[in-house]
Amino acid sequence: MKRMKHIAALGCISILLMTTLLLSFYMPQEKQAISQGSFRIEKIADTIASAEPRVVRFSTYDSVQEANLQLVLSSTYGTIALSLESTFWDYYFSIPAAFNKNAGKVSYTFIQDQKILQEGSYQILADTTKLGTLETHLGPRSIVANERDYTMLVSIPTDSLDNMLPDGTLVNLKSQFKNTTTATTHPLRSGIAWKRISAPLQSGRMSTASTLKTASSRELVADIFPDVAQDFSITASSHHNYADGNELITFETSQIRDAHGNIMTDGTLITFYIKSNLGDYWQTQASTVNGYAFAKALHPQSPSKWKITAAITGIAQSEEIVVTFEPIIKQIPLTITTSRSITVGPLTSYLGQWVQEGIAVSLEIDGVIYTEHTKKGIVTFYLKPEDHPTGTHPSIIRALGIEKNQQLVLD
Amino acid sequence: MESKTNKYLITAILLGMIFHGASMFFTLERTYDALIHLFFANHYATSWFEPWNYSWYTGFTVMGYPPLVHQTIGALSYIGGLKFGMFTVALIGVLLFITGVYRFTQVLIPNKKVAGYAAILAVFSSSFIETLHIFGQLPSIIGISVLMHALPEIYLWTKTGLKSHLFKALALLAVTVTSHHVTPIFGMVFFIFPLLGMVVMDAAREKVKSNREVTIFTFAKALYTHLNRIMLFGACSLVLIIGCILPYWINTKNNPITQVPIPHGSRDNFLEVASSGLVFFVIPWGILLFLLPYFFYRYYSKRLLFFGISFTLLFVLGTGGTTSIPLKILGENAFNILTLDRFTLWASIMALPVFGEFCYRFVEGDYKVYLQSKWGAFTHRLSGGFLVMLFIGIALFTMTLGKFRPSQPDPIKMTPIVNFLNEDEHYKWRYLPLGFGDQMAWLSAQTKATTVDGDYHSARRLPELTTRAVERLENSKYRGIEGIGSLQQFLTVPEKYNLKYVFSNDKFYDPLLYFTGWHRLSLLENGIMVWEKAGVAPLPSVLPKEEVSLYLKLMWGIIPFATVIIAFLLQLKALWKRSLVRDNTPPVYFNFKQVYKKAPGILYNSSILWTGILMVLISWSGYLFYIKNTAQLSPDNVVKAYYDAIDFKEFERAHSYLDPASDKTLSQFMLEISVSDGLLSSYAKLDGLAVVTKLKSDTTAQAHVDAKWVTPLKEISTQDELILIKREGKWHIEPKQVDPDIPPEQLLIQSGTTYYNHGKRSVTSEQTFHEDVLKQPVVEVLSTRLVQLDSSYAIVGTIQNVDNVPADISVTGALYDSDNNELARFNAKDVVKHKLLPKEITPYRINFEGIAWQHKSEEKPATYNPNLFIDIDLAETPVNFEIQVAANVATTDLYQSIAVSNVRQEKEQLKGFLFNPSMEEATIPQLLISYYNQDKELLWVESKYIDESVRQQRKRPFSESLHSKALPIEIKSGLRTASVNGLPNESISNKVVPERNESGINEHFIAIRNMSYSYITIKANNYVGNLN
Repeated sequence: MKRMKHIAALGCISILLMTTLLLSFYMPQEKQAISQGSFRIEKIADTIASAEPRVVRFSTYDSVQEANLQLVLSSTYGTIALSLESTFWDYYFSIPAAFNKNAGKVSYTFIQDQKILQEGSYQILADTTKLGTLETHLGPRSIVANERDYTMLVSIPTDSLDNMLPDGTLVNLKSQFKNTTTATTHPLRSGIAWKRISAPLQSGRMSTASTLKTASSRELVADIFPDVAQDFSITASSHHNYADGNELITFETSQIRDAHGNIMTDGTLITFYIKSNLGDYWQTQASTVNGYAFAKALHPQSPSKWKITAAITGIAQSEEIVVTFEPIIKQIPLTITTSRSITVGPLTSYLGQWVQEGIAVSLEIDGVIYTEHTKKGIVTFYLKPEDHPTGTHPSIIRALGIEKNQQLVLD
Repeated sequence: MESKTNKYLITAILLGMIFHGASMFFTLERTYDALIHLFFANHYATSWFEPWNYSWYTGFTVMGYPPLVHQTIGALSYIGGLKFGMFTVALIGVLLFITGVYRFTQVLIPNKKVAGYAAILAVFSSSFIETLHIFGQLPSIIGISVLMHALPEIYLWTKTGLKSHLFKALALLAVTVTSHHVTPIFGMVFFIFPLLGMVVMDAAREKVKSNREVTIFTFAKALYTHLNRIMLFGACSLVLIIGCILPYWINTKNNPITQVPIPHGSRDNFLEVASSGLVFFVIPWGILLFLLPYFFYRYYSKRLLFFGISFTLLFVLGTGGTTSIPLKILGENAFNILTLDRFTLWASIMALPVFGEFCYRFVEGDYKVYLQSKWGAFTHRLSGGFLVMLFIGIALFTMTLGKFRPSQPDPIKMTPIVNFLNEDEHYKWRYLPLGFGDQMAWLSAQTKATTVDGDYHSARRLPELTTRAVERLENSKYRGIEGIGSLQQFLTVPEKYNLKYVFSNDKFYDPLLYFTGWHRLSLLENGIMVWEKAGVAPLPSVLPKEEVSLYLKLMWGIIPFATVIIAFLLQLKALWKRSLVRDNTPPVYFNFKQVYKKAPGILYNSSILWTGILMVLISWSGYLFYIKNTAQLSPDNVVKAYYDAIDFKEFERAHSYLDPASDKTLSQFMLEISVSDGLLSSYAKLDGLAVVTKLKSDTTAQAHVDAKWVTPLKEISTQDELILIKREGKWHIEPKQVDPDIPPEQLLIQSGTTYYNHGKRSVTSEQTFHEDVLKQPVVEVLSTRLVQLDSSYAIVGTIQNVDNVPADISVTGALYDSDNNELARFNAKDVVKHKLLPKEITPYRINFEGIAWQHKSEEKPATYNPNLFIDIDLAETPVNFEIQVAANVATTDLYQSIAVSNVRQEKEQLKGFLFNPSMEEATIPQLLISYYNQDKELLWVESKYIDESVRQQRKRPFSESLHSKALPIEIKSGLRTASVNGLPNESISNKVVPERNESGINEHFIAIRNMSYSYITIKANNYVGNLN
């Protein structure tokens, strides 16, 4: 029991002691009293950007007059007016954290009732010890393999608070192309480091990046496409050279390359222009695969000679090649079953087989042209009495590029 | 008098609830208007007090339609969704209509039994069924029903002068006003004026001993004594009509309807357009037509005289454009804005009381006695049964009309579209539904994405829409040139409207989309094809809107519901009084009961005569229908039926018209159909058919058929010679031979280049990083020239994709006057190939399209012509021009599948054939023909569409007429003002192909003789409909 009392007494004393101690600690210091209106704040020193609030204290102030003091700050962040804050014994301004994050010059004006008491400025500097991201851009993202073209790598390093680093800081700008890596250092100018990368003369893909101490950028790539094509050559192939209108002729280009030997990008369009000795035009096109283009056209139905040229319009072309198509029939067989029903055929081809189904046969009579298509080598024309009166009519029958004049006697 | 529940009324209500309640779930969503009201309801459910809606027409105000019904559905949607709200309101509408007819009948014919009969007849009234189940006009139904409820109160106020009746009448009128604006205005004229006349007539009758003594003098005296009440009521209702929907009137004044009237079937001449006659005259009148003599007889009795005048007027106005009388009565303006079917609806509703009376007299009244004595009981019952069967039959026919002749496309599942719009911020662009019918309103109600189109045409704002009689872009194919023309403008210059996505439910529009530079994105799981246009900027985050003052917003949000609550409370008070105080004195109009005398013989005779006339008319039209539509009765019919079947793709029916003796089996016929494709067989709609048949003998004939087909790209005329044979009394068509052409190869093997662009991005909906976006391909303008053809201007030239990746280009041209003020700006429409492979060249032509028929004086063509083109009105002569090309990476529609073969000039025709050496069928081939002068300067470009497809390894002969007029005159040429992707064209040409040579230039010219030009070149483009 006695022991308990002791402890209680001791406790009471210690509490008393601690209270006195605390009170003495927090006793207001004597505020300096000077003449009215002569408030001054401490000079605000340059600082490193941080995400902490900052306190600005008075060098002198009047304890009586506290009214209407403001500290106006202006920086890239914007302009803010701070009001006086106080603790039990002290008056000060507190610059909010957000305002201290952005590097750059800050101007401050200390005012009372719109009257400027004090002016000045300070710098917030980027924190070069805490690096943030390395913002990197590359453009254009696709260039052409020649001496004229280039792409540009731009790097903007920042600290952890996203402030640009001071000029002169060295940044590594790197690129890699076909086992060759190039790295150069560039000083920051206005916060930016940049480099022009000339196009290599080979097509492919170039990777680029930038580094600064421990900070790295992401990988950025540029495609190097081939330059404009050089002239090329073409060949034609076909299973036979008969003008039967039912066989494909395939045109093929040589591998099309640019001046530096790069193969054209897949999909490059090649147009084949054909002019026949009969005065008609043909046109077919194909896009390249690995530099080769294969285009197809149908054999003509008339024996003829084709002159073929392929081109990438305005850029490159092939020399002209000539293909000759042989006739498959020599003459047109004709049967007149009744006086008004004319059967042409059977038309036979180079092996004596029927010509392909659907060969056009035309009959011109009295200025009218009838066209029918063969079935099993045969077509039949029926001439109606109301269109073609009784009598002898000169007529022309045409098929597969051959003409036959025939006097038709109709009754 | 003992008050009893009227068992007829109860029966009517129960019948109505069952009949309409059960069927509306199958009909209402397929009606014309219901989904539009649902869309408005959704607007109120999401923003009650904000009248501006961004969803349609680049923004419009909902103050253009009275809000009560929409707000009610919107409020109910919080309980069970929008559709629950719609069905509930429809059920309330049915209830109000039946009870409304009951109360209205009591005033006109003060007999509870007659009123009960009328209520039952109202359930099956074909005009009511049509309005609800075919048209879906909920506000109109609620409006007229509430108006009918108001009529007894108006009568009682005018007759007795009791204030409570005035309040009730006004409260109900306010509800009518807030649910439908047209109903109270015309209701005033056609329902309330005759009612007031009847009150005065009753008052005059009271002063004298018999009907006979009521003269104009006594009538005028009674009118004088009642004038104060009438004036007071009139003034109050005027205040209500204006006050309750004041924001509506202010909006109407600020945005007057200046649009070109949209054709409506109710304005047709019903004798000429039989379908309009059926829908807007025969169906709503139905069996009532037989009883017209009775209606006129009754309505021209002294007491109902004013209703007689009103009924006659309504009847005449409802006949639309059949006679010129409605036009003269309404004036040109009102005639073109109003839909006249509402007059028929009101007339048929006005007929219901007398119809009820007739039925009462026929079933249990004096007519029964009279007719039974005349015809005998059996015939009387038989005719009664016949009438009932006919009545119910017409009702059922009307209700199921929507099923047999669907007015709407099949229901579309909206979820995939809504999901598509939500995904990856697609809602940031505008979309355009095509072929959705009124279901587009339901889509709009479900998404926050906006569209340039809309479904409430009075609110259209864009001049491209308001100057044309286009109801919606969505169904523009039904509006001929005006429709397709409007649609083309939106599709050609989509960046103007931030329009990036098109949802196509009708493949008719697909070729148009393709050739104006759109491409297919994906087929949604509901079968809707999504089309996309590259390089369109998203909508700005703040869109313009028309602000209205706060008090208008509050009025709009509060008054409608307040009117309902007030009307309800007033009625509740009356109900309370009646059930507690047991005040069972019938209303004063029961003092004017009709005493039925023996019907005059002239009525009986004229009714019989009228029935006879109608019967003859019906039989005659039935006979005409049979003669005209029985397919194989005459050579003419069989040809028409055959083309009709082909047009509607009913190939089995088409085959049945072919000569059975020929060897064309159904499977052979179907096979031939299945291999035919192209503009004519897959994208054409038959527009006109002229058949000239020549009878050769009794059993053979020859037919020359001139058919006109409308396609989205051009109009096609076909000429056909058909041989017809009569076998066993039926005419048949001799089938035609098919092209026997067979392809050279059996198995095709081909390799090629394909593209896919997925942006190299991680799965995130964040803003696209700039490194995710592909570089815009570099294209080069090779030539450009401003030319003048007659009085119109165009820019022509050539463009080459000089990049190594495919490009999707859009070409914009602008004209400037001598002071460099912009005169016009437009994009190249379809005279350009939009998707270019690396190094591919396309010619282009930009026309400066104006908005059609901006001036009222301009004559509108009566028929469709897709090539018709309206030149822009230029204020000054263009002197300078510029051309801007925007290129984006293209990955689709790069397929080259046409080899232009054997091309030769034959007089003014360009002949040859197209050969398809590829793996894809070229569904619609297009030839871009460029015309050059002797100096090889490009002066004109034309686009030719080939009517039929070119299948793989097949030929398709073509014969196209060459430009026959003089070539246009050059105004200015040069590349100085050309720019590509915002860069000057010169910087591109200096850098990419600095040493451009003559490669392929001379080879691609085709020399032309005897024309105003010396050379042409041909560039082939093709739309592949079904991608393998």
